[in-house]
Amino acid sequence: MKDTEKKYIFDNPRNIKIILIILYVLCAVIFFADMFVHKHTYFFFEEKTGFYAVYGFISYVGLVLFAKYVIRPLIMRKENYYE
Amino acid sequence: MSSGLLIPPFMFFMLGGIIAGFLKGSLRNALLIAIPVLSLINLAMIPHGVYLEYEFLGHQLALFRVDKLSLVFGYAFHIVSIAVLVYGMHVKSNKEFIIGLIYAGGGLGAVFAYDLITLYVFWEIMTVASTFIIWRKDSMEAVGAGFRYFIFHLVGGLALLIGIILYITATGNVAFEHMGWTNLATGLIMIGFGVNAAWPFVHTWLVDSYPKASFLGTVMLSVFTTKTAIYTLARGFAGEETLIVIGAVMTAFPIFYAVLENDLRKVLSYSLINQLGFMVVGIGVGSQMAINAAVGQAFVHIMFKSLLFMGMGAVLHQTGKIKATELGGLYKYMPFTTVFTIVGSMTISAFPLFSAFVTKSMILSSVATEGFMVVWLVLLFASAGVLDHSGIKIPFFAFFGHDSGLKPKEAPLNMLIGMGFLAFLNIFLGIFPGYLFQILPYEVTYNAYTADHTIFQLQLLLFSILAFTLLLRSGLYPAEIRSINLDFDFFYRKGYKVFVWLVDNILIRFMDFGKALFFSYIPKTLKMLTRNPVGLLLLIVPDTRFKGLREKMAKSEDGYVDGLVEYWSIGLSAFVICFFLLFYLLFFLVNKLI
Repeated sequence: MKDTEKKYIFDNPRNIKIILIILYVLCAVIFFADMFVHKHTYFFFEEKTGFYAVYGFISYVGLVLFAKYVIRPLIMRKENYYE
Repeated sequence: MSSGLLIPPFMFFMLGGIIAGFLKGSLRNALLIAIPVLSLINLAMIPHGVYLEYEFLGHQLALFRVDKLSLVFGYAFHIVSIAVLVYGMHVKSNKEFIIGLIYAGGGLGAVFAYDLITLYVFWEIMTVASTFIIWRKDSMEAVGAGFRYFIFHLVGGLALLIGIILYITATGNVAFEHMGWTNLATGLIMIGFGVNAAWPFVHTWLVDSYPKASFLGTVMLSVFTTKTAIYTLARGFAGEETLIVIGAVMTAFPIFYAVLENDLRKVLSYSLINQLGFMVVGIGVGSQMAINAAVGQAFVHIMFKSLLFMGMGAVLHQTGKIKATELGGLYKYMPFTTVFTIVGSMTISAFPLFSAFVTKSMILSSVATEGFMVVWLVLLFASAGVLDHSGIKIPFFAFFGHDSGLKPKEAPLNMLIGMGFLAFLNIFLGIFPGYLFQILPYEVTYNAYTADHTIFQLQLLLFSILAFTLLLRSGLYPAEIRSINLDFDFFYRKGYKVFVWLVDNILIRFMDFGKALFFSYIPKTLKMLTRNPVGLLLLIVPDTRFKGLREKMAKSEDGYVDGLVEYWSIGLSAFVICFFLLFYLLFFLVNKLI
């Protein structure tokens, strides 16, 4: 089969590395970009540079780790639990 | 008020569904496309108003009302029906289409119903049709889930019916207009709607049944039931502040489940509740902007949610698998499905230039304008959560991640067209939100694409992606495990055992005692006592009296009752009862005449 020999875009670790670098650069740029625009905010904390970035990051990490370490041990059961 | 040639939209779907049952091949497929297209043209030509009035139990009802609010949902249902029917067109069996079209017709009937009674009828048509859609998947799991689904909706429908009856009796008003939660009647109506809107604790029917239907059935299910509920809440309960709290809970709790869930369609089901939460919050806020936002969100949600379910449906259809642990690396073999699913993922995550960016921004802004800071922070947190489960998890675990070794073919062309059509709409409405704004109930002056706002949203999303990347690369991201997670349905799926135990050990014993008491002990005692009344009387007088009688009694046969038993048959019982009823009837008639 030709398929098995064919190399796909993410089979090459270099491509993954490029994507990661793009992501890091974008994050850095967007973090500081809000210093240069006029903000129409509703709450005082929105004024802080990178509030959304920090809030998003913390939310995400908090969500995932809380789900993994607190909720999963409580609710996970075998697939045939109800059978 | 009504014009000569007026066909309500549900007629196209319901009649078309029945006709489609008799057709085969390309003729059937042509009809399947013609139904929503013709119905949409018909709908677009009907001016606002109330049509097809009729009388029922002395109330003036009307089958059909067209106004801006119902039209938003009407348009969305039509557009998505076109996509869904194209998507499923290669399925040979007609059954799913017949049920699906009746189900869609029920949804359309409900959103265009003028009065509460008509609404209720279509509401129940939807319940029955959607249950059959679940049952179309031939598995024990689906059968069980279908029964649980049906019972859930029957109970919700009953609450709605009781509420409607109380409401009409109290107010004399049958029209379905804004009512608000003011008393028991409206409270019951709201709960009836809430069951279909998958409120917390009554959400389990959704995550239980949707992942168990067929690849096509789930797409159909994801559109109508919940969005009709959103419509009814928006019309009847806009500005009801309880909804803000309920909605905020709905956005937050499902994302924890979605992180852990292994079945990708179940991930999408939790995600669906999370999205409904945003709409419920908007309805609860109730300002013109918030209602616009909630309704607009419902419109675009119908497009992107069905796109995501279609993407996962295509994966299930091509590989037979849907669990994250069994999938991965499919982008190599299903490139188009991958791209369309990613479009759906980016839309639901509200990336700028995708439709949900506009509507979700409107919801957040309307919440912030009213000053609900905690709710706003919860919604923002939930937005990061959406990115996790629908934005990253769905495409990553299905199409990328570890290579599962599966080498499926790309999905059939018609499935790709269905998905591509919706993907196009998601981007189109994201770039040109003006077209969406035109059909919203109130005038829109909102601009989502301000520099600060776009940057804020990108910050939130990109740093969430960064968080995912770092967690994944450090090994902290929870691995998918073949498992299920307990939800509130635990309490009835396991709790029924407690119920059965109670019935077996307490109720049945009590009943046995009652049975013995009434059918054995009491008759036996009575029989014993009546066997020889004279003898019985003799027992209570001193032995010295009635000597002659006592001697006679001792000699003769004891009872006359035993003799009667021979003739005392079922027939005699029936005769006595009939006689009694006849007497009762005569008595009643005589009373009436006098």
